[in-house]
Amino acid sequence: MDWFTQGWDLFGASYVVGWALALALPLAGIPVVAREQALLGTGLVQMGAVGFAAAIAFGLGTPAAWAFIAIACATVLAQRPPARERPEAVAAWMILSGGALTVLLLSGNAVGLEKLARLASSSVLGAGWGSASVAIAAALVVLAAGVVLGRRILVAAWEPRLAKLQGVRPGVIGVVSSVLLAALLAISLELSGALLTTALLVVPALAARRFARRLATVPWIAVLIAELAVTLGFAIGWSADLPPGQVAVALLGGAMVAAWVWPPSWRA
Amino acid sequence: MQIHGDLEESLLVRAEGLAVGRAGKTFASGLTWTVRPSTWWWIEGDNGSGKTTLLCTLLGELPPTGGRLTVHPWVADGTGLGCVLQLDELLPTLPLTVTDYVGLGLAGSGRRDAGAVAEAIDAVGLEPRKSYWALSGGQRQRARVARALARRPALLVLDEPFNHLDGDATARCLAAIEARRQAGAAVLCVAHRPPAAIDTGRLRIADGVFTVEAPDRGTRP
Repeated sequence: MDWFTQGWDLFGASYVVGWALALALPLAGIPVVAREQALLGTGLVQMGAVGFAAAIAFGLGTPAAWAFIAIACATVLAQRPPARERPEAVAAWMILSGGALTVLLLSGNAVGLEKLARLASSSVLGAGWGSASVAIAAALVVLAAGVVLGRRILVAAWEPRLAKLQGVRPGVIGVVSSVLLAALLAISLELSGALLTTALLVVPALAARRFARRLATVPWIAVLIAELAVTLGFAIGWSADLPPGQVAVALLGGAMVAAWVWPPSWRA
Repeated sequence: MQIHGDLEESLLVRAEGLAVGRAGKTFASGLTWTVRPSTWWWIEGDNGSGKTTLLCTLLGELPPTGGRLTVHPWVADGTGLGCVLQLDELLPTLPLTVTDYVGLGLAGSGRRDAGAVAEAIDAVGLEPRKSYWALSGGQRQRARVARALARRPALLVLDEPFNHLDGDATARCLAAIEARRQAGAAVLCVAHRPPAAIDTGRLRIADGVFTVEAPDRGTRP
């Protein structure tokens, strides 16, 4: 427990940021996984990085705000893909084009490229209490949206035709959930980097669906996996002098492998 | 399509010279028809005659290609609607018990009624804790019927609800739907072979023309 007792003064705010994001991102990832669009989650984070890079390259002000705009535009494209195009093609386009654009926008800008490198890796350490407050607020908003709108968001994502017929108004729900997701990803990108953001968004939900037997337990298991990974990331990072974000992502990768070994009981 | 408009309170659907079709092509025309609470209508016709197109038009998914269609606001906004569709959109991506599946169907109804979910599952004879993904085709069809019933809708729209069902399961689902009709719901049901024991109104589509045959005894199927 040294990481906690001795590390709190130095990294307390970072711990809180990690725990808050480990609560919010897996919940937001469940509708993404329900539509089998984990790749799209990765693409959205990549497009957020483009927003960051554009803000730095053109001196546009707060990078997180431009990341939000970029992710919001990307979610619109994902929801309304070009005619007869599959979502995974759009996701692949986002990942490839976004990856190239972020570097091209900042080529020749050494400071910008360094910021981009920090964004691509996961640098959850160094957050202040202001950042922790933002992360807690984001987590509470996602939690409240999950409690109030969770069933509608899931049905709108999973069965859009029936949702539309039965009064769920998937268009409105889609806009609300897209804005929430874009804001959460932009905040998380700023606070923890692209790697941890992507991993927390998709891996806990992917693993939880194999461990769970009922729909209602998926969010609980996903959040538990994420919180364990982040907490162990901080503990192992402290004791072994390793970057905690990467440790957490490696642990999430291990959780995914464990989930593959565990046969899902709900499949026929 | 006009929503509500001058529709009488007791009507759920009114069609006046309605024509239905897709992509500018009319499949059938000349439908003048009203749907009142507690009525049961079979919609019959050959493959490709326009049965599902008619349902899609009534549900607002397709515009009429002619005539006038008025529906009650409960139907238009979906809050009073229960549907069994031919195609299941769900991907097997998350664990889902029968109770989860039927419960998700309440989204949009403004209710979270565990009692209605349990009652509907019992009515169609399914095991509530069984995985939806482990059900046979016929059992999944019963789950779809349960999901529509659990909403306690004013209008039940059923597109081939007895597909894959054996005789006992068909009888059980029919009884559950009939109980809902007696409670006040109107039932529109597309089926190739309507069960003979049920006396209902019939809407036939043949050679691009609708033929309406009212129920023999008013509202009693």
